Amino acid sequence: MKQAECPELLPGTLYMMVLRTLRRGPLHGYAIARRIKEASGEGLAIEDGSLYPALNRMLVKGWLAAEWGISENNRKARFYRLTPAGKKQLQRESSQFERLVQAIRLVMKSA
Amino acid sequence: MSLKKEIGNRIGYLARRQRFDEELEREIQFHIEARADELERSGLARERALAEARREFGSGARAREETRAAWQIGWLEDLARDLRYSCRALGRSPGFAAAAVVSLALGIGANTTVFSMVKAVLLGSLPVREPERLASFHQSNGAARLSYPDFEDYRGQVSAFEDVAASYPSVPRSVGGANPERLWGQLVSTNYFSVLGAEPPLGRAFRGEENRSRVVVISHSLWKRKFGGDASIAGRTIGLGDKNYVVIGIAPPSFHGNIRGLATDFWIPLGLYRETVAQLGQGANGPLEQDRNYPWLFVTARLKRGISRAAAQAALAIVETRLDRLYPRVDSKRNLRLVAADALSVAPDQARALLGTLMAVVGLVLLVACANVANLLLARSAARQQEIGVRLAIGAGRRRLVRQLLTESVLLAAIGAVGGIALAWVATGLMGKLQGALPIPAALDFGIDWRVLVFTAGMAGVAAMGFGLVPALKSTRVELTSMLKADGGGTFAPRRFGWKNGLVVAQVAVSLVLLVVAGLFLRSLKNASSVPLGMNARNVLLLSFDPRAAGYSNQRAENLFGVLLERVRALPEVESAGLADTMPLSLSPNAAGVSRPGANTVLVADIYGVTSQYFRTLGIPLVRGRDFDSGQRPGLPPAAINEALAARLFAGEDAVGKVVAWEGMPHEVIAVAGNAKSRTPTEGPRPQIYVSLEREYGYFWGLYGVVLGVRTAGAPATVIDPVRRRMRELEPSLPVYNVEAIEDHAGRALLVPRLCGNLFGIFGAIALALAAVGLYGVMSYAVRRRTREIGIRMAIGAQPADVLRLLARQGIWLTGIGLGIGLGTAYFVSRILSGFLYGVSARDGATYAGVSLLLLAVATVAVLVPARRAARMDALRSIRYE
Repeated sequence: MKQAECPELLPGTLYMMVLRTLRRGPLHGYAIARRIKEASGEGLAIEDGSLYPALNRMLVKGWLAAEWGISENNRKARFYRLTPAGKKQLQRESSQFERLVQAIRLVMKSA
Repeated sequence: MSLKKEIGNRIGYLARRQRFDEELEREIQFHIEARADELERSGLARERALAEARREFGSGARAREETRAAWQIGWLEDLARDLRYSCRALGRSPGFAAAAVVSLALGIGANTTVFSMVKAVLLGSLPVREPERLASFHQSNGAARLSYPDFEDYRGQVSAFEDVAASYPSVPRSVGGANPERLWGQLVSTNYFSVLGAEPPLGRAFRGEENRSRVVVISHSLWKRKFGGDASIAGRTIGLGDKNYVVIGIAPPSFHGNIRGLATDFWIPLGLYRETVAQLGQGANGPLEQDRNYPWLFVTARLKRGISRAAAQAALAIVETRLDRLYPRVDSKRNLRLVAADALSVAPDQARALLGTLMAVVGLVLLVACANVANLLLARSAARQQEIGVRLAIGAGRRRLVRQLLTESVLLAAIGAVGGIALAWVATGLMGKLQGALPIPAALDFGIDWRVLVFTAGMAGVAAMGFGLVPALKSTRVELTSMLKADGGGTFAPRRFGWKNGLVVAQVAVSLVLLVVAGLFLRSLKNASSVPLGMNARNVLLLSFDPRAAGYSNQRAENLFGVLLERVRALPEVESAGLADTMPLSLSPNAAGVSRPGANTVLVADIYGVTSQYFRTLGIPLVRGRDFDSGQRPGLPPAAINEALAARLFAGEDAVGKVVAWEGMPHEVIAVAGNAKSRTPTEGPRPQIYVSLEREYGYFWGLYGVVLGVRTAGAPATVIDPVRRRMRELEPSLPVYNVEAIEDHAGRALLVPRLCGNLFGIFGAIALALAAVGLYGVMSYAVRRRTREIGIRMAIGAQPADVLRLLARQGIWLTGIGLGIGLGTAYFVSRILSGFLYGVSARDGATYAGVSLLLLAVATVAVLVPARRAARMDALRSIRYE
């Protein structure tokens, strides 16, 4: 239902991108979605409806922590922050992703 | 990532689910507003911006659902939902729920009770270190008694044993000042506590050199009861009987020695046997430490680590063979078996068989209960078909529905189990009280512990599957179209003889069996309780006392008897008073070999030590001769024999004045007494011999001590206090116990038939009620299903009587088949029972006929009520029914 020009997310990469986005400091859900959209040059958009389930799954796993704070426009918002476990997970996922992309690129070149 | 943490997070969620939902709502709201702010800044009106933001966010409901799902533990949430749903479903039909729960509670309660008996009697429960390494020496009929030298040889020569301990149980001693209590202790080898692995937590165990010292280890319960749990007791001196002992230790809590069922309150060194148990050593050849032919010790060994009981058994056999060669025994070879340390020491096989039978019976009761609940469930699922059909039609998986229905069954079983445990709690409490009637304080722990609870939970689970699975599977295997047609019929119709009918037949059969057994027992009880006892068991008070526990020698005790009787007889309310070592109708009178001097034939007779006025007090007639008296006449010691013995020994002669010998000791017969019942009311006349307790007390070792019988003019209870006061005045240290009216004593002799009759009666009545409910259910269901058919039949001219006959035929048929099967089974079962019955044949026609008629009557009512309702239906209304 979103912008048609946006490519589908590669499966399993949402967590990684959220973790990466949070590396610079706590953000609320809307800001996370914005940041990903901007950082990808509007190339990627997360479906709003799937962001919150993903955030909550990461809370369950203990990669993120959440607390209520005040947003830049003075509203109460829930801020997500990376936990040490989350940092480790980010490292693991990004190196895996790096290897995967490398491998795909090799295949695409050779063929 | 840590799984533990994840689970912790999820569980934390369960606790704050309410708040979580609110927070998620606020968060989504914030998201939409933040987006709307942005859109507003780009020029949209607030209203439009909000609408656009909401549109972009998409389905909030889905996001919420998925977010929540991220936290939930799927099956747990399902279970909670199923449980809530089940509670509501059961709440909607409280009658059904109550019937099912009561059936299950009775069935499960009976099983839990019997299992708590099994646990108390058969399952291991020694509170000691590594009980699995302990082994007791048994013979074929229970615990073996060993001579001291044999014990020493096994201890020294069997390499598989780390060490071996010996004990002599049942040492009575009185303790305490104003109201002395009779306690039971054991003489034990000094290594007893270390071998058993029950080192006293307070104080210490015996030292090797203390074999003849007056030192004592007391039980934890005695320490609490008599000494208020005072920790300074260790090292203090207490009086046991007439001697003082130094308390050196307190045994571990709940440790009562390893003789199951025997409550032991103190342990003293084995070397003290001579001064504590005067009878020990009678007839022995020198000191017991050297007499290989005097068996008296219970023996328990601790096996070396890593040695199995079988290996130890083999090692023991080698030593036995060696001992048999060196010191052959007169009667038989040594043939010991190693068994679990706390195995039942008396009649273990019989106990196992009895408990096995009981388990089977209560298992049957539970089966009936399950059959009943299954039937109720089937009947109900017929009524719920539309509900189930709708749920299937809108896409519920069959598996999910079955799980839902099984959850209902499990819930029923769980509530039933709780009820059952409550019932068992009451029942085991009653059993605990019954133990008080035994001559020695028993320590069988019928309490409900974790093992019983695990058993109950497991049984409830099995029962839930047993009664729930078939109805759940059947009611969900359906054709949707036929079910949704609100016909209430269809699914079960094609089967002529389905589950429901089979269950009813089984119920009828089982209840018939139980009722027949109950009937046989009750008739047997009635016969037994109307048997003349040969005595006048009215207005007699019985009080027991034990001079030996107070440290009396035989001589002193014999003197005490005369003085005591004199004082008691002087009381105005007392008509007569006499003593006996054991009252008739006790569990175990002594038996002795009796013969005419010089004759070869020896008769086994029950022997009683009695005093003057014993016969008068119990109302046993003296047919010939005179009563015993207190005087010490010259000549042979006196004896009285009963008519049964007189007839066997002196047929056709006058027995009075003749000489009889018991165990080789000649006595002069001074009287012939009437035949009185000796052990049970149901026995035939047994030979009995009475000798003077005042002259031969030394030969009587009974556990009961001495029983004083007092015949009163009025109610026996009124003399309790005066008699006790007299006894206390005479000898303050004498423990008095088991004070009761003779009716209560005699009533206990019929305990087993009464208990069996009542138990089977209750179970049978329950089973009958269940069968009636089951029949009623089947009939109601059939009527409901055939409503339209009946209407049509009536519309084309069938009379109500025809309809009644048509419907009743089905129910009567089922009852008839059940009766047939039940009668056959009962006939088979009662063959096993014939040994327990008195005055009634196991194939007693009257019982069978009576029970069958009763069952038939109940079944007829259960069948006719719904059938009549159908027959009275208005034809038109029933065609339009539904």
